Amino acid sequence: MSDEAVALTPGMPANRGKAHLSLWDRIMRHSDIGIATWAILVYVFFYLPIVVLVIFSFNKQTLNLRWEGFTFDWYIAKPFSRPDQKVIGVIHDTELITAFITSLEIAIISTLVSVAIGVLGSFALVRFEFRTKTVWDGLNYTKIIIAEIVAGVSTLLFFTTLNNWLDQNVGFDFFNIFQPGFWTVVIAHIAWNIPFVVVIIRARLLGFDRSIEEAGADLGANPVSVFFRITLPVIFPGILAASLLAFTLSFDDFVTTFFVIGQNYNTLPVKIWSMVRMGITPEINAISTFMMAFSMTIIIFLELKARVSEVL
Amino acid sequence: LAEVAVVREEAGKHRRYIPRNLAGPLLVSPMAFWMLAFFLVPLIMIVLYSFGTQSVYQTNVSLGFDTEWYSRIFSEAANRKAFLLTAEMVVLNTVGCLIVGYPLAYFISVKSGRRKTLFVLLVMLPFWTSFLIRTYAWISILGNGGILEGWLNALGLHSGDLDVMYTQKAVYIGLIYDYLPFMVLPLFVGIEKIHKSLYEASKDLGAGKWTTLMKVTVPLSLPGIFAGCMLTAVPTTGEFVIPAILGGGKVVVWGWLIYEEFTSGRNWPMGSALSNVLLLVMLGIIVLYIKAVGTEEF
Repeated sequence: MSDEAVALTPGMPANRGKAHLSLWDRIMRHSDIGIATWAILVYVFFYLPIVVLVIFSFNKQTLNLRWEGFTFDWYIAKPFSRPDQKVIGVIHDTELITAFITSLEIAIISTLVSVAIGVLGSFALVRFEFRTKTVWDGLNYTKIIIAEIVAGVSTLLFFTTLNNWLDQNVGFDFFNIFQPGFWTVVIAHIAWNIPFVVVIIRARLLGFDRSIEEAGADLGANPVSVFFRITLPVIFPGILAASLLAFTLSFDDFVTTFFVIGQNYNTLPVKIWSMVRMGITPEINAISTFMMAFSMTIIIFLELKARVSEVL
Repeated sequence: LAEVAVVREEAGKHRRYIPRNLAGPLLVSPMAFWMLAFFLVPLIMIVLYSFGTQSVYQTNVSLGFDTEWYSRIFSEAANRKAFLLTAEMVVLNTVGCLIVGYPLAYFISVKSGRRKTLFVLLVMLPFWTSFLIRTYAWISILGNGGILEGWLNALGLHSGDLDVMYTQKAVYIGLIYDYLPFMVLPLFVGIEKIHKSLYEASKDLGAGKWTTLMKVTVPLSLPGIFAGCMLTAVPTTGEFVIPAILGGGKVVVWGWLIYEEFTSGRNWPMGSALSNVLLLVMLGIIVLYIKAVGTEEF
C-alpha cells in the first residue's frame, strides 16, 4: 500500500525504478536528442536537392555537376547575342514558352471544372443519403491511390478507341476532342483532380455547423440565398484550397499527361521529361526553378490572403 | 417546442424545389459521370483489350478471349526479372520510408501549436513541386564528379568516383525521397491521435522510452502505419519515372515495360496485359489493407 502511495506522489524521486530498465530502455534514455537530430537530417534531405537545383540554374558549367561560376544566361541570354553565345535563356526559348502556356491553360480549365463538379459531389456525399454513395466514394479513393500509369494508359486506350469509333460510325467528329491532344489532357486532369477536391471540401462540410443555415432559413431566406450567403462563404476557404491543389496537381502532372497528350502538344513537365532524356543542362534547372517559383508564388499569395494552410 | 418543430418542418417542405430523395443523386451525377466515363470505363476497357488479339495495324484489335499476352509476359525471363525487381522496389521503398519517416512523424506529433503546423507544412511543401523536377534534382548531387562525391572526398570518407548514379542505389534514394511525404503524413495522423497522458502513464508505471515506444506508441499508431504503407506501396508498383531518370535505363521495372509497349513498342494489347497484372497486384495490396484495418479508416 505504501508503495502505491509513493508512486502516485508527484514529487517522487526522478530515478525511481530506473535500475530495472532494460538495455534498450537505457540506450533510448536520451532519445529525444536523437529523434530531433534525425528529424533535422530528414528536413535537410527534403530540401537539399531543391536548393541545389535552384543554385545550379545559375551555373556556368554546362555539365551541371560542379559549380563553375555565376551566370544569368540560362534564364535571359538572347540567342547569338555574343560571339561565344551557345545557350538560349528560357525566356527566349519559344518551345518552352508555348509549353508553359499550354500547361497554364490546361491547369486553369481543369481546375475550374473539377472544383465545380467536386463541390456538388461533396455536398451530395456529405448531406444526402442514397444507395450508390459508397460506389462514388470507392471510385474516388481508388483513383487517388492507384499507380498513375494504369490510369494514364487506360485513358489513352479509351480516347483512341472512342475517337476511332466516332470517326467510323458517326459522321460528326465532335471537333476531334477525343483525339489525343489538348482536350484529352483536360478531361483526364479533371478526373485526376476531382477526388482530391472532394477530400478537401468534404472535410470542410463535415466541420460545418448547420444551425447557422437553419437560422438563415428561419429568418426567411430561401434555399438559394442560404447557399450563396451562408454556405458558400463558410466553405470558401476550402474551395480556395481545393482549387490550389487541383491547379498544382494539373500543372505538375507528368504521367497521365504524357500518355494522353499525343504528338502536337507539350506541357512543361512533358517538355522537361524529353529534355532530361536528352541529357542534363542548367537550362533544365532554370525552367524547373521557374516552375517552382511560379507554384510557390501562387501558394504564398493565397496563404497570405486566405490562410489556405489551415484548411488543408 | 414540438409544435414549433412541426411548423418548421411544414415550412421547410414548401421551400424545397427538388424532392429530397432526388437531390443527392442529382448533385452527385456530374462527378459520377466523370469518374465512370473517364476512370472506370477505361479500366474495364483495358481489361477487355488485354484479352484481345492484335492485327498488324495496332488500332484494330478484335476482342475475344485470348490469354496469349499473359502467357507471353511470364514466359520471358526479362519480364520475370522486372517483376521481381519491382516487388523488391516496393518492399524496400515502403520499409525505407517507414524507418526514415516514423521518427520524423513522432517528432512532429509531440510538438505543439504553430511549431507543429510549421513542421507539417515543411513535409507537405515538396508536394507542391513536380516530382519529375525533384527526381531530376538528385542527378547533380549523386553523379560522378557531383556534389556528394565532392563532400565525401573533402571529408576523407571516400575517394574516386562515387558510382551511385545510374544504379539501383540512386533509384532507392529517389524513391524514398519522393514517397516519404505519403508515409509521414498518415503516420503523423496516427501518432497524433494517441492521448499524451498515455505516455505519462507508461512512464509513471516505470517503463523506459523503448518499452513505451514498443508497448504504447507503435501498437496504437498501427492504423497510421498501415495507411502509410499502403499509400506508399500501391503507387510504387507502377513507378517508372524515377528508375528511368536515376537508373539510366539499367533498372528495368514493371512500369517501364508498360511505358515501352505504349510508346516505342506500339503493342497495346501487350501493354494492357502488363498493366492489368499491375492492377491485380495493387488490388491485392488494397485488400490486404482493408483486411488489416477495415474500411472505416480508409
